[in-house]
Amino acid sequence: MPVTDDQVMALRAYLAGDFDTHKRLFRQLDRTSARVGYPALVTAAFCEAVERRFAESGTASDVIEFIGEVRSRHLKDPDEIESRVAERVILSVFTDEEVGDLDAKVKYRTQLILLLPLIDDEQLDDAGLDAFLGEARKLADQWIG
Amino acid sequence: MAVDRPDSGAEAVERQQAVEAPPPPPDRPGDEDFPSRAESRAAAAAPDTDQRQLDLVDDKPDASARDTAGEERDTTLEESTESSTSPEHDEVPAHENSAWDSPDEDDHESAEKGTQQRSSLEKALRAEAVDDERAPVNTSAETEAIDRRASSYGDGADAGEQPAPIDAPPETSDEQRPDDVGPPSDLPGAEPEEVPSQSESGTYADAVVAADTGQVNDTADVESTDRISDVRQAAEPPGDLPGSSLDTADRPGNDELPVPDVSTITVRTEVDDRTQDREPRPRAEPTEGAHFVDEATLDYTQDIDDPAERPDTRVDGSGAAEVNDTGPAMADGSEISAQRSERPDQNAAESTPPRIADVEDSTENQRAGVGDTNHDQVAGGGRVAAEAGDFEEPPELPAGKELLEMEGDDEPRVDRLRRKTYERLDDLFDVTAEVAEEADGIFHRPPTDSHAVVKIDHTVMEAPHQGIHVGEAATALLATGIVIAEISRWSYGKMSGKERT
Repeated sequence: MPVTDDQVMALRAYLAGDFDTHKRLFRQLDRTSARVGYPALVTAAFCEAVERRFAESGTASDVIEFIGEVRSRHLKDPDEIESRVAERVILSVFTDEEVGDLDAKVKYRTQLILLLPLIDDEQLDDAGLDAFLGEARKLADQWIG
Repeated sequence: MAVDRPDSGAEAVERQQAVEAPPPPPDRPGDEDFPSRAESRAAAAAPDTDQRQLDLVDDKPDASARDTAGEERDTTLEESTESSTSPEHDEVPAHENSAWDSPDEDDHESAEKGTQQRSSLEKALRAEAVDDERAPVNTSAETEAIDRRASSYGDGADAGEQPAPIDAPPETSDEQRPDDVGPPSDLPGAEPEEVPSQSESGTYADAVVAADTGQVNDTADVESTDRISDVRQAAEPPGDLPGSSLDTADRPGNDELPVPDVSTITVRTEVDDRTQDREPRPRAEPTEGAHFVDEATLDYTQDIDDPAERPDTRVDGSGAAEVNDTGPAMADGSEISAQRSERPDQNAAESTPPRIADVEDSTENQRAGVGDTNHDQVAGGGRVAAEAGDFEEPPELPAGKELLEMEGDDEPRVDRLRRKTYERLDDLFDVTAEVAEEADGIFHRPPTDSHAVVKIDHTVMEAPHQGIHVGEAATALLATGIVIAEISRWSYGKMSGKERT
């Protein structure tokens, strides 16, 4: 089933830093459809954000620098994410990095945490954020459609 | 018709005379002391024997006598019929021909008796033919039958002295004899004029009826007989092993027929067991059982290496076509197994692989043994069998988990990540809920919006009015009074000091 508007609005509140709204909208989602659509939307948004930042001229050093900045500036607890895992997850999008050995939950949690700093660094306005979510939704629909 | 009335008086007389009477002497019209047919007729019609003798001596064989005899045909026919049914009919010609019993003609006595009998019979047959001409049904067949019988008598006596005009049969009748259809030497007891040929019978049902009533001779028509045998074979109960319907004893050259293989017999038995449960059906409605029966027949006939030794080659060819039509079904062992599974009692005694092999082998052998008569049909069926045998099992395709685990080398990385992530979406939803609940504690500060706006209430300063207010005037008056008081006090002190100095 495709990604719904409710799922897009919930993710948009998360990316805007409005955690209370995100929590409220997430609880209102249909569990049946959101069980498939929302994780797909998050993964698609992560891939889209990584490609925007690292796909053209990104290197492994850029990824390592980005992970250091996220841990120092964005996270209250720097150990909230594992550096090597975060680097591999980002590198797996635009390199031949294999992440098959990683746990799916760890991988998804890392993607979800890294998604917010990636969008914060983009300094997107409301239209830019909507355009980004539109691309992510399209990709997610292709995956689960 | 003589064919339809085998026990008629004319045929009875004919048969008895053919067996008992001596060969009749030739008819010699014009010779003295030898009566012609007309004389014989006149003698038979005369009420007085002595007068008949005188008439016979004086009369000549001319056309008027023949006409007179022709007028008396009906009467003669009745007489001959009565004589054939009466027990004394053998004596009738002898008594009637008593006028010819002279001592100097003893050597010709028996011949003359035969001639007399032959003349009377010919009269009867001619009269019968004339009667049948009134009813125009199979007149030619009647004529053929009469001519054939007359010629047979002539052969028994002296064919060289046979007078031609009346007694000689038409030449065309000899050409139309059904005896020419098959070799008479191989057909014991054949009477072709009584056998309905395929063209006469028309349908298989007629042939079957004729076969069941015993009117069909196995050697009358090979083709129709073979078809009848096929129908019978389909209807026969099990236990009749090869050669039961079309008995090998009835086949010409049957000594050269080889004994069928044991495997072939096994297949036939299996097929017959299957057909046991069904009612026999005509060939026009082929069933599986019928096909297999034909197949069994083919299995039997395939062992005949020389097609010339098999008079039923054509029938086998048609059977081969039917078997070849069922080629794919036979090639499919599962289908045959499914059919056998319907009868588990037989499955216990049968082993499937050898039977299938037998059927396929029989098809191959049939293709090689039928000959060129039905080459196309057999070759077509052979191709089907060959194609069925060339089937190879397709490679096992991955399914289920193997398909999910398959990964193409040219798959985009994004798709790979998506696929690997997408595998456990159910678990990921729980992770999302957890992150949503703990988002305030995960991030150090909430990310600032790029253009945050904070509203502030501004205090508006009012412009001073032009003019003197009361307070300001009072203040000015107060200030002015204070300044005046001070100046006054300074001036009083200065003046008082000068006075002291």
